Amino acid sequence: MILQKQILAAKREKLQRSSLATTSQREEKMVLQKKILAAIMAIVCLFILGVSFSWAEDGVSNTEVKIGATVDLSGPIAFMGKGVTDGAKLYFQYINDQGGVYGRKINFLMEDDGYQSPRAVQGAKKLITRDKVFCMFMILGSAQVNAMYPLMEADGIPIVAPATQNQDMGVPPRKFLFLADTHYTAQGKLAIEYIVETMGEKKPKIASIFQDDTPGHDWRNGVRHGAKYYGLEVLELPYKRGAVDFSSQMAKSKEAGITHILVWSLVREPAILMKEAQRLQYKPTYFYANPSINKKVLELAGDALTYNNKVYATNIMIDPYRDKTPAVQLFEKNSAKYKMATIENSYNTYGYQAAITLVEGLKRAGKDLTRQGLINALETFNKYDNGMMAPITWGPNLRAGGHSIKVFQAKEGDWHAITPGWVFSKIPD
Amino acid sequence: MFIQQVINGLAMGCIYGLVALGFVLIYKATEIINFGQGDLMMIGAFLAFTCVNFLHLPFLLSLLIALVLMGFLGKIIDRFVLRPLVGEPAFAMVMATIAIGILLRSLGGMIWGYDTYKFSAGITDVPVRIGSWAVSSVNLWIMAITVLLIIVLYFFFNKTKAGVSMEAASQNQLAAYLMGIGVKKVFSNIWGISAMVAAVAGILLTPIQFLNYNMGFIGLKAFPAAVLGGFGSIPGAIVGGIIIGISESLAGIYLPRGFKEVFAWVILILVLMIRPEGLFGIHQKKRV
Repeated sequence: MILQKQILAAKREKLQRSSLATTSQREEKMVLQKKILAAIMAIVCLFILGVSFSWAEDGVSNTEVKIGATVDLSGPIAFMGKGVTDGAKLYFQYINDQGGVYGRKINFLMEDDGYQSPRAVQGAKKLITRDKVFCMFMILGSAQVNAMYPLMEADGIPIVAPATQNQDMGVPPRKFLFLADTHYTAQGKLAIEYIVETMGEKKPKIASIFQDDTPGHDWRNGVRHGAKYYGLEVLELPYKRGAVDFSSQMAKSKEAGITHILVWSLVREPAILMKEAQRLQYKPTYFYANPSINKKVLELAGDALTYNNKVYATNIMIDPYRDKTPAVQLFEKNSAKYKMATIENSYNTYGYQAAITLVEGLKRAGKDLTRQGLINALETFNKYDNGMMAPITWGPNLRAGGHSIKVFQAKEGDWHAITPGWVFSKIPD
Repeated sequence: MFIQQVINGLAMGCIYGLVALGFVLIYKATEIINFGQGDLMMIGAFLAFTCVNFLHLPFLLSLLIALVLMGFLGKIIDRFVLRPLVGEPAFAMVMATIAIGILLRSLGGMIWGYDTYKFSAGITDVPVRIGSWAVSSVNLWIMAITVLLIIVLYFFFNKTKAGVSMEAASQNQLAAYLMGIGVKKVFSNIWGISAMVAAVAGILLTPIQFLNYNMGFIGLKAFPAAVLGGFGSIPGAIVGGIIIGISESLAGIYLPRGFKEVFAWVILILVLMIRPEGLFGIHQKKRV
């Protein structure tokens, strides 16, 4: 019995030993496999690193540069989002057919944000992590830009020419954000300056009507600044977004003997307030900010315009119907050729000119395109005139590009430029 | 300036009252607050606009077509959205009407775009001068049509069998049903009528506020008007609207900036504190 047990124990031991031997062999084999895998991975990594070193930057290859944008394509201002991107696409199409920028075709990628900042941030994340865009362009809305800026700053991605005129896009300057348009504060200041200097009204009685939010406040601040410079008082009459009743604002203006009403509003409000003035038999001079430069405004106002035609506005773009600059002529040629975008749609022309500005930056950045290179190139813009927009000046510590306006007047059912050149301000900031 | 502001407020108040009327009608019969009322107004105005500007029909015919279509739309909403919810908590119904509002607004945007349109057929906006004061011709039309609507609806609810049966259905659905009143039919009709009133309000509003997919937001101001008048009272809605219109207009002139926008709600809270059933509300007690 004891012997049997001993034999069994010995057998067991032998079995265990052999199994031990096989596990150690297996382990050795696995270690070898792992080593080979690591070596392959190291080679792949080196290869990837090598590739990325040779291209240096995300979104740039020898044949392509990726540009990202978040715009509203399905929400309340979808018509704007579609309008501006259609215009930009037209110019990019033209540039690509010319062979691109240094042989790189522009690949324009858009994300729909429904005019909501959280969705804009999601879209931007997708564009920078999955699509790996080189830079951002034409983001519609300043809230959207502000929401995604930390992401861009962390990765060093420039945002060029956002489709907004809010002052905080350019002042104070932020390294990666390049505002091309003349912001509302500058526009408000220039409006007062035009009234006093060019119209020769030495003591105008000024009221400022504005939407009670960021763009409206920008305009109000500009008007305040200009008025302070000339020693004028301003009657400030804000209204809430979506307001349809302007009776108290107009009654107050009439009571105070206001001669010039400076307004930041959109499309519907000018018509309502001019009709209200007509009802009160009150004929002030109106000065609007650029969002109201729209044929629709005049169409809606109807006979209130024939009642009082002293209606002016500050514009940041040229009049494409009558001012046929080479850029406008090229737009018309491209528009006919590619059957995209029309000159009647001001959002199309706006998007188109922003694309010209971006392409100029890419050209100036040179053949070896890097993000820092683009930033350096944009900082060389000195009164750069793209043929459609107020001249752009950026610099090492200057990010608000536009500094001038054209004054438009409502005549014969349309807006006409009445200043031949661009009007710059003499009032210090 | 004071009297001019009162006139402006009166004009604005009639608009609020007209929109509030739609709230009151549905509440009176069904005890549901229809938060989609403002958006029904927008759809009605756009339907008339489409008939005039795209189908080139005369204004009165367009108005008639819009009213008929809106009547159907009201009945459809009742049949497919609210009838399945009968017996569910009031909360569910209110949520359903909010959803209808959002849906209609989005549909309006999809069909007619997000632009603002001018609809100048029929009633035009011409300043009318009374002594040294002025008012828009549209406001006079609104006042006249609102008064007319109130008279018609007042008689309808108090003197006709259909109206009385609506009132009955509102007070006790089960009892009304047992008395042989077709509650379903009553509800369906009141939704139709309310949608038609909304269309009238929308068409009257467009000459001064223009056509836009989100013009229905005026319903937010009309709501306190309806509550103020005592939800369920037809003359109350219009009086509530006028009180809010005038006080808002005066607040815009004599009170510090910003009061104009919140004044409707300040008045609403004050009235509810003093007379919770509203100015014209009847204090109803339900027996157990």
